[in-house]
Amino acid sequence: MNEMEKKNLTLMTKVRKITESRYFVQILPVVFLLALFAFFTVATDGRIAQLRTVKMLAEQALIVGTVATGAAFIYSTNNVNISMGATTVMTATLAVMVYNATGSVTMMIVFSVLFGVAVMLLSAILSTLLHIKVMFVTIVAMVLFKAIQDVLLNGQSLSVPYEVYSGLSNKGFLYFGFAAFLIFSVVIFNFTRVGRGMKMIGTNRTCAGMTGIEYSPYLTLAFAIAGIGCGIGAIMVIIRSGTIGSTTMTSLNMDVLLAMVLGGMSIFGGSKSFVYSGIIGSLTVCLLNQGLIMINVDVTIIQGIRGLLFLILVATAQQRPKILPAPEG
Amino acid sequence: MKKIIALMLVCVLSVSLVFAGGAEEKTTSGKTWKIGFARILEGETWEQQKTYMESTVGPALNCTFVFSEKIQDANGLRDFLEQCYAAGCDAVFNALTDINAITMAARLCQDWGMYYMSNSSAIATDVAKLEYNLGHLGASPEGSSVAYKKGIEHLLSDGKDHSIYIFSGAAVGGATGTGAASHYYATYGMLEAMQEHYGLKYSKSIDEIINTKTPGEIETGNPNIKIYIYAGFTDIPGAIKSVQTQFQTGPYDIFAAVASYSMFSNAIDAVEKSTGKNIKIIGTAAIEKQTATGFSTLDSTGDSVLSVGVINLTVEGTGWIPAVLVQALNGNSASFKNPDGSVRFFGIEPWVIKSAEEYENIAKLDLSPETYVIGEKELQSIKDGASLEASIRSTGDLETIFRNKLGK
Repeated sequence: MNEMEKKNLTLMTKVRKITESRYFVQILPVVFLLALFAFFTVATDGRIAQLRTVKMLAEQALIVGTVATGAAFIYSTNNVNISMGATTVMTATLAVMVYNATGSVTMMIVFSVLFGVAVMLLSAILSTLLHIKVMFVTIVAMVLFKAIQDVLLNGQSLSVPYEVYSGLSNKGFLYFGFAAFLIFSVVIFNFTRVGRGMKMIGTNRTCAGMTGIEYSPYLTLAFAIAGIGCGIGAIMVIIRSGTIGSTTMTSLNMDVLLAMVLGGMSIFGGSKSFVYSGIIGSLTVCLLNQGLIMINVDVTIIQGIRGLLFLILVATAQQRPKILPAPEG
Repeated sequence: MKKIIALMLVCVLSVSLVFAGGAEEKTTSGKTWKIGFARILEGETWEQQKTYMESTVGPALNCTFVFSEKIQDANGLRDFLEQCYAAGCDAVFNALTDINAITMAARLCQDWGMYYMSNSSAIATDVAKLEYNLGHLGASPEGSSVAYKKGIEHLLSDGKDHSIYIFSGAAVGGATGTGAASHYYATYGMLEAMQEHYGLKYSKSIDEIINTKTPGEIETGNPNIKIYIYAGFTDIPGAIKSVQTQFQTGPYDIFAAVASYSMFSNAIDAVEKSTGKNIKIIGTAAIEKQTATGFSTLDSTGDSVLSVGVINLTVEGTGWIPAVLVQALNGNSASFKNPDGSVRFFGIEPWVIKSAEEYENIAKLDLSPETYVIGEKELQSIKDGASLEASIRSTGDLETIFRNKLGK
C-alpha cells in the first residue's frame, strides 16, 4: 500500500465516521431543507418565501408531520408501517360520521384519537400474536382500510359545516394539536425508558431481548402512540376542507414514507432514529411539491420526482452501520 | 458517500427542472392573466366548455387557464386551489356548487390574494364581504320557475285535460337553503301553471305541497286533473318504479323532471308501448347528443321522446365569469358588488326548447365559435365596463339573439 492509497483510506475512514455519526444524520435533513428553501426562493423570485406561502406550506406539512411523528416510534423499532395514511383517512371518515350523528366537536376529537389508537393496536396485535411481519400486516391494512372507507362513503362525500371546521382552524387546532403531540413524542422518545427501549429494539432486537426489553409490548406501545398521531392527523384532515371523499389525501401513505426518509429517519430504526424527522421530512416534502409546481413543473412529473427521490434515499440508507451485528430478519 | 452522491443527483435534477420550466407568459400588449378553473363537467359537455374557454374566452380577455380534473368535493377543490396558487394564478373560477366548498374557497382565495367567483345559485353569506370574492353567477332559481311554467303552458295549450307526474328531486327545503333552490322553483312554476290553466284549488299552499316529503297525489279540486309529486333525489330506482306504477295505473300523461329526464326515459317508453298512451316529457337538459336525439327521435306513439327541454347553455355559465375576474384584475371589482361591498348573485334564465328545430338553432349558440351566445364582442364589452346585468339580459333575449347571431 503506497502513501497515496494510505491517504485515501484515511480520508474514506474519516468520511465514513462523519456520515455514520448520529449528528450528521440529524443535521443533514435540516441542511437539505434549508438548501431547498434557498433554491426555490431564488427560482421563484421570492414567492415561496412570502408569508402566505410559508403559512400554506406549514398547514400542509402539519398533517403529514403529525402522522409521520407518530410513525417515527414504529420506524425506531426497525419496522415500517405503510398504512399510516389509510388509517388516518379512515379515522377521519368515521370522525365526520360521529360529528354528524352527535353534533359534538369534542366527541369527534375524542373518538378520532381513541379510534386511531384502537386501529393501530389491532395491527400491532395481529403482528405480534400471529408473528407476521409488520410490513405485511400494514400492506393488508392499507388496502382494507381504503376499502372500508369506500364502503362507508358509498360514492358520496361526507362533510361537516363550514363553521365547525373553520372554527377549529381559527382556534389554532392545527398548530396546538401538532405542538402538543410533538412535545409528548419528544418526551416519550428521548426522556423515558420506553423511547430508549424502542431504539434498542431497532438497533438489535436480540440484544434488547437479552437485557429484558421485550419486543411485543414495546411494538404495541409504538403503534398506540402512532395511533394518537393518526387520530390528531384525522382531525387536521377534516379541518383542511371539512369534507371527506374517496379521493381525500390519497397520497398521505406515500407522503409519510417520503417524509420519514427525507427527515433522516433510518429505515433500520435504532439509535439513529429521531422524532423530529417526521416534521422536518414533511416540510421538505411539501416544500418540494409546492416549489416544483411554482417553477412550472407538471404535476405528473412531480410524482415521478417524488418516487425517484424516495428510491435514491432508501438505496442510500441501505448502508448499515458497522457497529453492531445486524438484527434478526 | 452514497448520501452525498444522492444529494448531488437531487440538486442536478432540480436545477435542470428549473431551466426546463417555462417563463411566465406575457403578451406584447400587457399582462396575460392566469385563471384557475375548477370544473365539474366531464365528457362531451366538458370538451365543449374547454374549447370555448381556450378558443374564445382566452383570446378575448387576454387570459390563459389552468384547468382542474373533475372536482367532486371541497377537498378536491382545496387541492386545486393550492395548485392554482403555486402555479401563480391571478384568479379562480369555481364551478362546484356546494355551499361549504364555495365558502372555503372564497376564504382561501382571500388569504392567497386571488380573485374568486363561483358558478352557483346561492350566496355564501359568511364570506360575502371579502375583498377578493366577486360573487356568484349561475342558473337563476326564479328563472327555472319561469322556464318550467312556460314549458307546462306549452304542453297544456292543446286545450285537453292533462294529468302530470312531477319528479321534484331535491325541492323540499329548496327555498330555505336545505334543498335545491332550482328544483323548488321549477316545481313551483309547474304547479302555478297547472293552477292557473285549469283553475285548480289546492288544499294546501304551493310551498307546503312542495315541502311534503312523502310522495303522493295532491288534491287539485278537479277530478279530471291529477298531480302526483315524487320528492327525493337519493333513491332513483324507487323513483323509476313509482313512475312505472303511476303511469300504468293512473291518468298521467305528462312526466316532468326538475333534473335530467334521461334516467326515466326507458321506463316511460316501456309504459307507452304497453298502454299506447302518449306521454309528454319535460325535463332539464344540456346541449349534447342525448338531447338532440331526444328531440329528433320518435317514440312508439309517433311523438318526439323529449317534448320540452329546459336548458342552461354551457357558454352562458362559462363566459361571464372570466370576464368579471379580468375586470377585477384590471382594478374594477366594485362594479360587481353591492355598495356595502358585499357580493351579488347574477342569475341566468334557462332556455325553453320545444322542438328539434329550436334545439338546432339554440345549439349553435353553445357550440359554434361564430355564433356563441357570449362571443368575443360580449366579453369585450364587459372588459370595457358594460353592466353585467344588462349584458345577461340582452343575451338571454331569444328574439334579439336570434336576430343578431343567427340572422333570423
